[in-house]
Amino acid sequence: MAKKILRINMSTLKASYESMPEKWARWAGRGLTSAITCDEVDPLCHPLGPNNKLVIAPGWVTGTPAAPSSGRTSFGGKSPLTGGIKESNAGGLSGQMIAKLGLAAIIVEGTPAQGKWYTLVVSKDGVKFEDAVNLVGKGMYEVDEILWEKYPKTAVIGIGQAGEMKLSNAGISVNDPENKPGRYAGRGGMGAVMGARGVKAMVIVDAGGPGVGIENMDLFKQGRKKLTESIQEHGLTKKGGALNSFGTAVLVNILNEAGGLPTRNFSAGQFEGAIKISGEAIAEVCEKRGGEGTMGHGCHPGCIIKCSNIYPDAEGKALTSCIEYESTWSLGANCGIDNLEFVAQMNRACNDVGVDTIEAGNAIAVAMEGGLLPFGDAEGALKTFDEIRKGTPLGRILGQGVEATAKAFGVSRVPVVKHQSMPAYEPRAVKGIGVTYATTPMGADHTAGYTICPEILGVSGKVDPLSDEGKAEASLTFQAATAFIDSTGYCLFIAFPILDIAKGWEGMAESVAGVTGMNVTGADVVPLGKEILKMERLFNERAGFTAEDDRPPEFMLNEALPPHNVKWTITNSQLDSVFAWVHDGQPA
Amino acid sequence: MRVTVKLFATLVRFKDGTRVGKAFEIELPEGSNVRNLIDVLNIPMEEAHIVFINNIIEEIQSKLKDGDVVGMFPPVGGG
Ligand code: SF4
Repeated sequence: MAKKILRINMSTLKASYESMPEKWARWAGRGLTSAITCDEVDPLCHPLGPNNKLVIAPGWVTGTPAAPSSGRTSFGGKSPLTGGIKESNAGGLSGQMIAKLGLAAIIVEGTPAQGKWYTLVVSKDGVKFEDAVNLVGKGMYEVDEILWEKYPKTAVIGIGQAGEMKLSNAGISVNDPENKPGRYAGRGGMGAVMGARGVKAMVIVDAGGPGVGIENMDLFKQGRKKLTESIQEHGLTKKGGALNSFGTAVLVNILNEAGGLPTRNFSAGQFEGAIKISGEAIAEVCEKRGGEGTMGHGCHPGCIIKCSNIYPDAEGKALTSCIEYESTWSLGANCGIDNLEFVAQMNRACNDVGVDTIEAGNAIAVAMEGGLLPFGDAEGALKTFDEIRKGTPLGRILGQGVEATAKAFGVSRVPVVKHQSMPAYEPRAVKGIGVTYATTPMGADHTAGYTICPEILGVSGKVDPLSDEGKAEASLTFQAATAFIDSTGYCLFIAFPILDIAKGWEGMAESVAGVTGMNVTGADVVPLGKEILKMERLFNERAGFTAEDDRPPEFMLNEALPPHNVKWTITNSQLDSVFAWVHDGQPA
Repeated sequence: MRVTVKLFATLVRFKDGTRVGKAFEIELPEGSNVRNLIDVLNIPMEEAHIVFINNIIEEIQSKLKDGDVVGMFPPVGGG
């Protein structure tokens, strides 16, 4: 059955189904949210104004039987944080359920009457617009619980108080199989875009949906088998491997050892308390406290990597899920905090109030540098989330992210590119990831082109992280492959096995070809990814971005980072070479 | 010569009584390299995936010298 586009108009409170137009037919996931954003959103519009849209799309293979770890949902539109195009994707229950309803994408547009908030209930019978007065002002833990009372076992997409206030760091939450918030499309303020549409929550009811059609079952099965085997064979993603045993926070110690763990607002590359906030420490707490605490948790049904965790409180009750590497770093090392209990509580607070953990931790770190509270003040840091929840002036400043906070507190060490703050890898100590931060259309984002693989992890070969050589080319290849994977619906973590094991790479492409009937092989991954990147770069150009926006922050050129005492040394012309092909080498 | 060793993630199980990242010392003959150290620790070669000497990623044939600090990791990743 051909997939449909569901268009929800919040001005008229009407929904309509459209057949997939030819121009978008090739795309899904990130490729589709970016194509729709490029076609329908004015790049110069105000991100919170009536002309922005929230576009939601599952990947090509999402919702198919047992494609491993493929439940991602992409959320796209114009970002209030960066002012450019944004695709932010999340795990959780939503992707598979949207796909099973036969939907390629949901476009939410228009603005309801002032002050009105809605819960959109999307099922096979259409869309119900329910008054969300019972949810307004509530955090996501309560929202998920209330909505499951009426709609059990559904996917819940929602925003916390930060999204209601349309703060630039507001994320979109997706519930996990235990109906807890925590799978976030966090980056870039997409929660504010949802809030600007007057949508507090969306409930996806997949019962009775037509399911996802598969054009060539044999090819799909063949691809799925190869991909599954590669995940099960690779040391990193197999059962009992590092991701499964320690979660993504297993990275804390290796980045610290490499001198690339940003510490105290990017003023050092090593944190003396790193071990205490690492994946190994999280696993130890889960083991000791037991109860609901666990490592090896899957964020959606069908994940076979299971990198997630449920962090228990002292009584063994679930406190938060999941403590990711980026979160334990941003709320920990980057704030000089080595107390895992407080990191866990802040993680929960982020998931409840609805903000991105990376930007939130960075904003606190900048405020610490600006004198609001001392580095290492865990209690004080936790209290800042109450400020956001209550919408105090301080909370609103912090909730706007790093740049606004730096201005408010007179700080010049501002670790952002395109107004979005940097994740947990120091570009001065790991140069390739700095190229990705600088040049991705998304603003500083590690997932956009994860050169950490060869630079630190020894995945897809080994290159020297401190060297400038070949980093521009490597970043582009990773960015293109990522744009493709973000469109498949597969979790990006399949990249680890498929970069090392050739049959996995082929299998990914074959499974996409099997589902869609498109002629896609492993050789098409990078070219198709480049098409997506080109759309996104052109949107950003129309939004006013120039080469000057593809630059790391000034302080990284001036300040030497311990322990290696290195500065940013990659030249601007090397940075400009990454996307020179978009205009055939000519200036934009 | 003596080198200081730190083991991480699943490698901790190869040294009785150690904890994640806890430094311990090992006596090695002069001229030893990373491979010799991995052998002394009884760690299967494929599990010692990334080895740092003094915060720089090195190869298994890299020579060690007295006072070096070695950090060892199995395949790890995330994001
Ligand atoms: S590997 Fe982790 S993030 Fe990816 S789908 Fe599985 S649990 Fe979710």
